[in-house]
Amino acid sequence: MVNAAMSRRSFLKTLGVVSIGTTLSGALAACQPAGAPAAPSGEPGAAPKQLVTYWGGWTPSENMEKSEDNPTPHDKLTAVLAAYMAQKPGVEVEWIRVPQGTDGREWTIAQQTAGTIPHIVPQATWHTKDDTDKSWWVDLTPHFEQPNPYIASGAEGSQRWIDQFFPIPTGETQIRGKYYNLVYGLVTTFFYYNVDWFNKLGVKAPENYAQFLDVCAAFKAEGVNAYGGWTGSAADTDHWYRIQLGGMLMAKDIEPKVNPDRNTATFDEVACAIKTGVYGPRLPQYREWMELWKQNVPYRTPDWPTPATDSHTNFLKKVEPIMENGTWSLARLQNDSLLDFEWSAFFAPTLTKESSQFVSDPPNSAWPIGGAVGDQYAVSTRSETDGVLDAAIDLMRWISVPENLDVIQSEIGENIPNIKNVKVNDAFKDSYDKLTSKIGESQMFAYEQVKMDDEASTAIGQAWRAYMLDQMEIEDALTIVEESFNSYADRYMEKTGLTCG
Amino acid sequence: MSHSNVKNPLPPHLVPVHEIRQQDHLVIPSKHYANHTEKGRGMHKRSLGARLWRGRIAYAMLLPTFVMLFLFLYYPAAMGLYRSLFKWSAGAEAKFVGLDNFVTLFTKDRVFQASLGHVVQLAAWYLFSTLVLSIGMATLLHRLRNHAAKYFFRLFTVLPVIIPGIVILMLWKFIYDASIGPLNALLIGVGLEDWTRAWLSDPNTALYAVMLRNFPWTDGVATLIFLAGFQAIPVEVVESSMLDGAGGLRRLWSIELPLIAGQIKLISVLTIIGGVQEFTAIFAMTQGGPINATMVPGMWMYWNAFSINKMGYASAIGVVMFIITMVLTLINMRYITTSQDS
Repeated sequence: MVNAAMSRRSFLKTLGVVSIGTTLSGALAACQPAGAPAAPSGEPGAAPKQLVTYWGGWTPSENMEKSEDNPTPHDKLTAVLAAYMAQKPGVEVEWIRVPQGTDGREWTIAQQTAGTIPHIVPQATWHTKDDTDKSWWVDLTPHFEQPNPYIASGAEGSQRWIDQFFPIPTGETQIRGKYYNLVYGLVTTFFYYNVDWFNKLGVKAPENYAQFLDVCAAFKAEGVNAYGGWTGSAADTDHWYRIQLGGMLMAKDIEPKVNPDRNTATFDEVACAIKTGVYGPRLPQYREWMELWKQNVPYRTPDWPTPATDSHTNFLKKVEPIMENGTWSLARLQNDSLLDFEWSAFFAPTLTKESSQFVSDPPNSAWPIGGAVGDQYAVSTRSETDGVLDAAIDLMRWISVPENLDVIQSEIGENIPNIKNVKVNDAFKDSYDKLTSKIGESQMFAYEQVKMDDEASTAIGQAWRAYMLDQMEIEDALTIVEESFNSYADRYMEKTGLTCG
Repeated sequence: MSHSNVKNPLPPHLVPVHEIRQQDHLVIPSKHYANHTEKGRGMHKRSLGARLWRGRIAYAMLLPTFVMLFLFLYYPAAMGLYRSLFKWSAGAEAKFVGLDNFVTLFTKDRVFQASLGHVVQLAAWYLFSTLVLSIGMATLLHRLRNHAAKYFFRLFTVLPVIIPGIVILMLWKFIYDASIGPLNALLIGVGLEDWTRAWLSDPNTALYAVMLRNFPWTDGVATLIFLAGFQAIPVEVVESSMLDGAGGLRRLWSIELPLIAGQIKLISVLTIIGGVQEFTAIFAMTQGGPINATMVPGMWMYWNAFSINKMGYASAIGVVMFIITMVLTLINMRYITTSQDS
């Protein structure tokens, strides 16, 4: 009995000591910085450099079986990465998968805060502009000025890596004169429409906004909500045509004051335009923009406020005869073997004098939405900390080889390449010419998420939607928009030290 | 030496702790019993170090848990309180702003102010449905005479608890779908097409849709707790009330409910805490939309922290939520008294 009591005591003592030891060890281990320091490659016996990457839309599909949930299965990225590692035995490239439905921006902020961000990640330029004060992203400008070693001598890119990219759309991605993003894809949007259904109703593809509303009204008379499309988050726009409409309203009188050269509208130009009152919600053009835009709301499906509505499925199932969507829909439509109707696409209808006194005659065409906004990547400063920056840059140069990029992009088929000498899908040829030779949405000073920060664009987006849903009078909505404009301008000027003349 | 009239189960040389104070004579207690002594009676008081050494095994066993609690609960909470006084974005320098974040919350942030109203509505409904409906269900179960029926209904009341919450949320999101959801299909089927809505996309209905999910709104765990409370009531008390002529409702109101006040207090506190901290349902079903019609402080805090990287401001929202929860809990504890409290 006494022995058993002593044994139990000893057992408990030992258990207590082990518990303390385990806790302390765990706490010490948790305090170690993540990732072992990489040994310089090339040295005999050096450990390989380990690159952690996340490729966003390029991430290999979980299975290669085509289905409604998996319309474009793809995995050619792995072949490109394998080929890279075959010639670079000192580098190991690991790619990760992020759960579907994860918000990209939220994920990035969480990963950066935790210090676990991969070395290469998808990153939109409109988010990078909000991160310039945080040392999160590598300035790629000096690397762009160096040659791409994987390009043959004499070809574009052999002197300067940046020469491989189309200059006009790529130039739009600069942030205060520096490049932080690698943009491999160009996108734009169209209005896809069901030709058979249009013919049955006796309507034609509209050329201007008034005709667009007439077409929608004709469908509404038949009990059909015609205007479908992908609804963006409140920080983004509900439909991209809203921005194009606003641009056409502002083109004659406002744009020359905000963006005189009609080149990329810089953040400085936009902030100063707001600060000096040149551009703002109290302009009659802005009010008319809201009123005109609200006119199409009755022609949408009742669940349009839900972000990321499945407009593509609605179009395929003949629920909606019109779908405003991007170049990424083209591949899905072309590859869908069950599609049983003729379809086509029209560009954003213009705004004419019939709809507004503020437009010019003849009317300006709409800004092409998009541009260099597809397949965007950035290199995190963690790669500097982990000593793998050279490897990360080298890998991105490898991806930039036209043959390699073509392997990846052609399998997915959603974006137009922003690298010269990459094959282009015939269906994209027309857009390709426009997007590589013209300014895209970087000209769109009225595109809130692209030209302001998320805090302002979300509040503005909510005010617009509240007005569109009859939850708010236009005056109240304009007041909220005005507050958001002004607070954004103040934040931007405080952050950058900008003064407006 | 005086002895208590109650039989002392201890060996003769030991005296229970409660008798030590009553004696004039000194007793040196066994080390298996309390070594507490009166001051000034000349007994040897062990030092703190000695007492700690004596309990070293217990402390060693408790230490890992408390280290983890500190690291993963108390430290982050304290840091949240500290950071709420700063204008701080992750990756950028923090700037001390004092109470500015709190002032902004209550004077300029319309979304936050609206979110407080939403969470009050949600918490009120959760409290009502959890208390009233669960007590009702527990009462019915308690009054069933047939044991097999009692077992059957009790089992199927509790069984849904094992289904992951997110599955239920996704199911209700589907039920509310404007195009293919069964709710609208049902309304059309019974000739009420005018009643169909885009339940989660219409700002007039979205909050109520989130609130009224999980029909029939009974909480299996709360029902079990109340049922256990009813079953713990002495049979004699119930029988004597019946002899006195108390009917079922009177018995419930005057006898049974007061005797399960402890359970009611517990469930109320937990429901209030859960209601004020509501996040999962909003995140899964509406993300606070449409146009902030379902925004709650938890979701607003998340958005400020992870969408626009205003960590300091988000921390301030967290502090406010904590204060609200604490105040409501204290009010609850003050006004619902159990027999022990009396």
